[in-house]
Amino acid sequence: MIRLRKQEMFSLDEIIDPIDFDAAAPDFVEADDVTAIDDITREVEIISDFQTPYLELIRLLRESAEIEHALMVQYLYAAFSVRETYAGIVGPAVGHGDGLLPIAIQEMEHLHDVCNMLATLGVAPNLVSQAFPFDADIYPFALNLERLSLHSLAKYVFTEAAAESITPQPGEEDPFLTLLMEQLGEQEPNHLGSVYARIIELAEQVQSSPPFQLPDLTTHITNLRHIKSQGEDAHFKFFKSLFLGEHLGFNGNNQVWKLSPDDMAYPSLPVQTNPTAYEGDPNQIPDPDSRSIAMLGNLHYWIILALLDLSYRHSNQGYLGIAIGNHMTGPLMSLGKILAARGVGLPFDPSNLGSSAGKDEATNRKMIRLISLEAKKLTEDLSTVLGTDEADQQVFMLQDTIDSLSI
Amino acid sequence: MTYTRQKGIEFWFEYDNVFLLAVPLDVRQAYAALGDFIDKPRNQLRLRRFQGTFPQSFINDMMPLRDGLLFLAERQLQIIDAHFPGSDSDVQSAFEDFGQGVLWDNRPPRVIRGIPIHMMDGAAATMVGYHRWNGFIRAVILLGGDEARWLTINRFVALACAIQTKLNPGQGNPNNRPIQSAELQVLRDKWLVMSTDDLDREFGRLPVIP
Repeated sequence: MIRLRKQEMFSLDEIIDPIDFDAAAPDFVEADDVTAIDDITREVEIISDFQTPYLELIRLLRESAEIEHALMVQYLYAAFSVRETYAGIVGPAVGHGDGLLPIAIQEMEHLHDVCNMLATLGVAPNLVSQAFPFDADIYPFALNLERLSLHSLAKYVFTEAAAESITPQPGEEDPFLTLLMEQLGEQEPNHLGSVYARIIELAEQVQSSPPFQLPDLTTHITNLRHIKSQGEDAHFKFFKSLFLGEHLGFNGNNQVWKLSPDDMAYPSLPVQTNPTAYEGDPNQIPDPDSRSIAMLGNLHYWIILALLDLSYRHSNQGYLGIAIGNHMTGPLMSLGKILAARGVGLPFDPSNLGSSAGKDEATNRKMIRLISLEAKKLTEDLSTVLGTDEADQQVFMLQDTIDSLSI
Repeated sequence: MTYTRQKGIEFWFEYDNVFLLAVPLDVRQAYAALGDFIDKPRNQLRLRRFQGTFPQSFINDMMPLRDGLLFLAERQLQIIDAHFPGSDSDVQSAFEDFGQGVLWDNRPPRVIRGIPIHMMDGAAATMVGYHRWNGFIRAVILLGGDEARWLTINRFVALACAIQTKLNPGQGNPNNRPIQSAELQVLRDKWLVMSTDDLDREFGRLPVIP
């Protein structure tokens, strides 16, 4: 949990002018550039659980991993919901460029960087997945798995914005901010930037005064700065362009968000919000075939998390290669689109097993094989629903995973 | 033409902009027409080889994408030929530098995005871009592209992948170590003589074994 303490602010005049020294400090908040870590101007303070920099650093890295993970699946879900006509706003599944998929992949890369840093610090990765809606503490709204819409984009804009980007300037009318406020109401800026600023601060403290021998953290600190700036710049600009209907992928129609959500020209499909493949849950996917396909999607998702976990714990890129080659770039993408076309969505349900239920590497490998076998059986059972070509492709990849982990 | 690192930078600058970072309208339209194609050649190539139905089934898989794939292939060749006309050795050098992560470029958009070095995204197992490229080239060859030309390029792609896998250069590191001559020759001797079948087999692994 991330708890925030709003700091009392002192204007420079208050500090310099001794006549006013005893006056009560004004209680006002100014837009803050959190890259300038400054005791005088800091707007919020992350309340520490630990006083030992190393422990607090681990704690906040684990928190940020959960946030990046949730953002990643949220953006993936939104990307899957986009109609084919607007494929230009989805983009290719690469880590750079312009689109929802590149943004989702960049969040994955942020998660990757954070987990790698945790590994360098000598601790386990954090690949905990959340149930949605997910209350991330640092945002004034929950994160949801939902179709792309003006309202969801307003939240994404807010999520990625630096404070000054969405703070009205006195006396100035900004149509973008007016529209944003209409969707979200008055909100204080999000504080993910503050979290990363604090993480960087702590990392530098640990680097200069480690509690025990640690590898050099310089590259990781550089990566953290990049994560922080990427969100507040490239991601914000991208989501703003979608929010305003200005992105080229809308094919010149900047009025798309004025269409009825039921309109066939509306940018996204009417997919279920926060679906689950867990039968009996109030949000369960109602159609049995769709629910089974969604469970297949879950199995691939859990296989990916387990492979990533092995990769970070044991510094073995081979596991990552299996996750990417056999699951991320094939079945997960296909199933996400198949489920969206069926009006539901890939639920990314959390599993009680987590990403590392086994007590050692060998047991975890066996468990991934068993999950893969289960997924393979389910795929074969669903071959009529999925189509033979799709089922064949997924069975092949699952078998490759099984074979790779049998060695 | 005598290759220089600056020529390599200029080549990759244009290449990255056209296909990734500042995509012009014609390429954007080709991407839109192709839809979600980026992993399809690679994934189908693996499947059809495993099933033993390659090449005909793979050709059937790729036929709906033919026009778009051949268009993109032609655009790639245009850029290569504009920068290194008639010189495969220069193209090879450009790929070798790419794999080493020694092509630092201060210009936007790369530097603004925090990716100043012209190299494949990722490291080892996450460098799926080279594998996708192999799948793409395979499809282009079987759909009517110049087999000899594209085999040469595919070997360069594989060599760059092997170099980058071996050296693991850091994006944003201006001091990535260049490959030693002896190391490079070992990799050249291995990768520049491979057949298309050999390359498909090697790219079946992620990461590749340099």
